[in-house]
Amino acid sequence: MEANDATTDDDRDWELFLEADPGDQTAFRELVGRHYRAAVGFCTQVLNDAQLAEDVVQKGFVNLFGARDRYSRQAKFRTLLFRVLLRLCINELQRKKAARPFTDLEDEGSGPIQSRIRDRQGALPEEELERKELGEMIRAAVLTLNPKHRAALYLREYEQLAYAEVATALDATLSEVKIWIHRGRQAVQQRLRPYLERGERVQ
Amino acid sequence: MIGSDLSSKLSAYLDSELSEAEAKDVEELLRNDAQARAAFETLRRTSTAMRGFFDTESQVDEASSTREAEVVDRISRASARVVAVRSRRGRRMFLWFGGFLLLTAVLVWGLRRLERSRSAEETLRGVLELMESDHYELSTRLDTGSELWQVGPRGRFHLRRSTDSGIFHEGFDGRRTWRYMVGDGKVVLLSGEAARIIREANPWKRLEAALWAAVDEEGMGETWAVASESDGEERTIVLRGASAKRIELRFDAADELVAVTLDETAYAVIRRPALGDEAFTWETWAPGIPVEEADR
Repeated sequence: MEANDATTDDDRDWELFLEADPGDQTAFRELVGRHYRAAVGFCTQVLNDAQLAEDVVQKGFVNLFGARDRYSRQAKFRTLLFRVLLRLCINELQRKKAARPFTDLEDEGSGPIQSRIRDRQGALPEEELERKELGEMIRAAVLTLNPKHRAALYLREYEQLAYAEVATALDATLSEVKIWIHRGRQAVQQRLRPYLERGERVQ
Repeated sequence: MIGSDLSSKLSAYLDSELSEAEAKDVEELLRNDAQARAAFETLRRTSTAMRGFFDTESQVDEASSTREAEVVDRISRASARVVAVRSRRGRRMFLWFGGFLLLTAVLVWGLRRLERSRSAEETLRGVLELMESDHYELSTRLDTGSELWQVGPRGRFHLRRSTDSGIFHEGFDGRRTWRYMVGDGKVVLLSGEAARIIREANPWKRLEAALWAAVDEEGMGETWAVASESDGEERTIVLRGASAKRIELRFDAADELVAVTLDETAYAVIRRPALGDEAFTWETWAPGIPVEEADR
């Protein structure tokens, strides 16, 4: 996406956010629709629970709108959204005492993402099965990380945010973000070593 | 094996987050160091694998897409509702705050008014006490038809008379004489000439008749004795009543009241020619009641 388009999109986001009239739900629907997937993806990565992620996203949007008088345009709207969501995710994780360890992952197959993967599995060719296996290994590696590190990695690798934006979203310093991303990559790299050494699988 | 510091630098380089100088150093290293090159390549592959993983995770099938639309709709409704509630709450807060301010303003205004009215009341009481100590009250209030008049010590008086243009007021409060006319809710000052016309229309003699009636009714209780003496130029009327007080009224040749004696104490009467069947009230000359001074 070009920078100019991004600016325009963000302008539109803030316009929708700050001026949406409760009597007209179109604006609310447009704004939520623009960020819903990214929000759920982010929360799912941090929480490792797609169902809970949806609840957190709903709560995040409602909280944001409920306090919209207190917000003014200082950063990208999506960055603000991630920041609010991360706070809620961490609250959820604390409420559940801690993120579920990797050993629980095998038992967890009821979430939307897992079911999507399983649905696609069917009679998969060998290559697809290997890709699935690789995905599970990355997931396992990612889940060993602290939620904030996980969030940093997701925002950088998937959302392609600059370090400064990641720092804003995670309420962290630039150097913290740099370390988190580096450690996250190292953890994944460690687990993927056999695949990475083969190279072509990953490609 | 490369060090953690270099590994961290390579990670930042991969994300284009190094300064220009640092990026040049890393590029130089990558050109000359095979081990660093391999490490960077592994890092790049890791990053690509992760991106692919997150991408797969984010793919949505048809069923999830339908569900997504429902959830988006639900969130939108909930968000709109919360904004509406907050907005109503904000308006309510504003109204409460406005109401509170209004109430405070009314309270302050009321207290000030009360204070002012107390002050006026106290002043009036002071005036009345002063009058009582002077014992010069011929009559505090006399009804003469639909209008009233009153006279007080030291020549104080207040006339109130209805005219076609409004209510005419004239008085002497012990220090100054004032005249004004109230018409259409406003005070209209009167000139000396207008005051003169009023005076002529209300001759002193008419006061005498009213005074007699008043003394009879209020000043003496039941009057049981009235004596009248005349030496050709002056005429004296003496009244005695159930109160056992003796009131002596002395009139000059023009039949104007010039002196009053109450139980051996004589008081001079300052002629107020505007008296007649006009109306007087004590209250209107009490300080605190706005009157316009005219024609001193």
